[in-house]
Amino acid sequence: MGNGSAAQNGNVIVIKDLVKQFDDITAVNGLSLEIRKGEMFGFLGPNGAGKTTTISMLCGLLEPTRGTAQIAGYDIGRETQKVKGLIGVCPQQAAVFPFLTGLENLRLFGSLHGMETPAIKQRVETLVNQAGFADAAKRKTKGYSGGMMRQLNLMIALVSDPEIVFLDEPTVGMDARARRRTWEYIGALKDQGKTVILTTHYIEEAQALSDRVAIIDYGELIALGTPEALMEEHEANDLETVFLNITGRRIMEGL
Amino acid sequence: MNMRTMAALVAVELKKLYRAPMNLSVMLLMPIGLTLVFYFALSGVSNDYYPTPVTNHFEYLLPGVMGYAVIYMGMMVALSLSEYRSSGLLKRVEVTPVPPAIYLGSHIIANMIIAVVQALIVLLLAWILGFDPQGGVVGLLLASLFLALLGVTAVGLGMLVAAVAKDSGAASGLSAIFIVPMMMFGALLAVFDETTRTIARFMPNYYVSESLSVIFHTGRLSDPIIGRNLLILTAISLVIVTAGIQLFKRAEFK
Ligand SMILES: Nc1ncnc2c1ncn2[C@@H]1O[C@H](COP(=O)(O)OP(=O)(O)O)[C@@H](O)[C@H]1O
Ligand SMILES: [Mg+2]
Repeated sequence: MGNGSAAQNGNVIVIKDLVKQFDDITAVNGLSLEIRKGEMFGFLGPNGAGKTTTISMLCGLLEPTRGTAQIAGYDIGRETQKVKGLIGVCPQQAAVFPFLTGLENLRLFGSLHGMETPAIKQRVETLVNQAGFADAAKRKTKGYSGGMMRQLNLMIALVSDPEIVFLDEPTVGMDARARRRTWEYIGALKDQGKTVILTTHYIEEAQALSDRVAIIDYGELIALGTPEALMEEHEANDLETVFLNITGRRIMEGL
Repeated sequence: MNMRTMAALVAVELKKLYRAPMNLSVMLLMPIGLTLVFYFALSGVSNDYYPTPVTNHFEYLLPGVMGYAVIYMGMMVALSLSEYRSSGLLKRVEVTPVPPAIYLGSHIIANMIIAVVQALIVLLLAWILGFDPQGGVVGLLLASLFLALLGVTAVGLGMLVAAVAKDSGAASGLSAIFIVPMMMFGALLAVFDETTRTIARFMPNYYVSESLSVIFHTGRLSDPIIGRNLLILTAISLVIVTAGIQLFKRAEFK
């Protein structure tokens, strides 16, 4: 992996004092974090807390107003192309080419990641079969249901078999059953040794899947630790109560 | 890696055209409809006062109509980039290691090809309707080069519009700002004296109209106007497409 990873004590992502200002809104306000290699890291917070903005800066879509971050030792500002080569991103907004089939979308994104044709073929076949998506993948995505679209969205993020995966609200809008199936699928990524950064405003999702969670509110880090440690510290039975203790509000409030 | 990636992206843009029957019919109907309208309106009007050796007004305007078919693609590009942006597809491509210049480059190449094909459909139909183009195969190739450069210019303008426009509605409105004057003046529709010709010289497609007139109406391929216009159009297309790429990139990553 990257050049400075040994010096970072196994931290694959190091964020220092990251700030993003949009006109009069400070979406991310001095965020500092370290994420370890192989960790399933939950990024939890209410809608508008700054989760997507943080992810967008980390994957080179937005320029930070201030602060720095390194991914596998590469600076997100100066070495953006290198960073993009290492990561897989499942955006909050499921976006695929509507006039291509699922397979064609997967292959295209494989080639955008610089993969060779035989490697793409093999990887796409594995992904599609694992997800039980082989038949659907042959159809144009224009006719996909919302759930199928999200599933393809997730597979595209994994097509290059990235070491580091950003999943931005991967289950938003799914029914309970689809959500559970997706959780299983995401859980399996950890067994493959991948570092996963999962943003969500579903408390139970963050709690069930994450090794550690960061809770953010108004762009600021308000709590960081394993779900167990945070619950113990706040004498709570779930992370919702932790959030309530710190802010006096509920996470799902006022959406 | 970049050439293969670019080829894959060009293929996607071309696939979009024939996978969506709506897109394909718009692309075919536009040049065909345009040619027929001009033919039925103007082929009976004699051309006594323009300095070209053609006899009717349809043939006089034909090079301008071919250029217009190309310019029109600028609006298509502005629309398609705005749609890619609002659907989140653009961001999705931007998180891959493909440099922005490569995927914007693929947009330029694909739409340039489509633009030249559109213009050649106009010429083909005009030929079926009795127009006899001069200049032979070399003339046709030279004309295609002019049309391709104009295609690059049009795509560049489309990128500028997409960089400024918030959505596809705004993009189509803003596109009219460059399409209408280019049609009126650059395509020679409203050029009837020295003043209007001076205005026309500010339109990139004027240099295509003028050169294609020389090629198809006189067949004088060594006319110095052609070389001069080729230089002017190359410069214009480079400036506009560079500005388009830069502005679009800046609007995307702010
Ligand atoms: N491009 C933008 N321009 C202006 N404000 C934005 C932009 N993107 C996000 N915001 C604002 O920044 C804040 C954080 O948004 P976001 O990161 O999407 O939150 P989350 O993903 O946690 O729901 C919100 O107040 C949102 O309205
Ligand atoms: Mg979000």
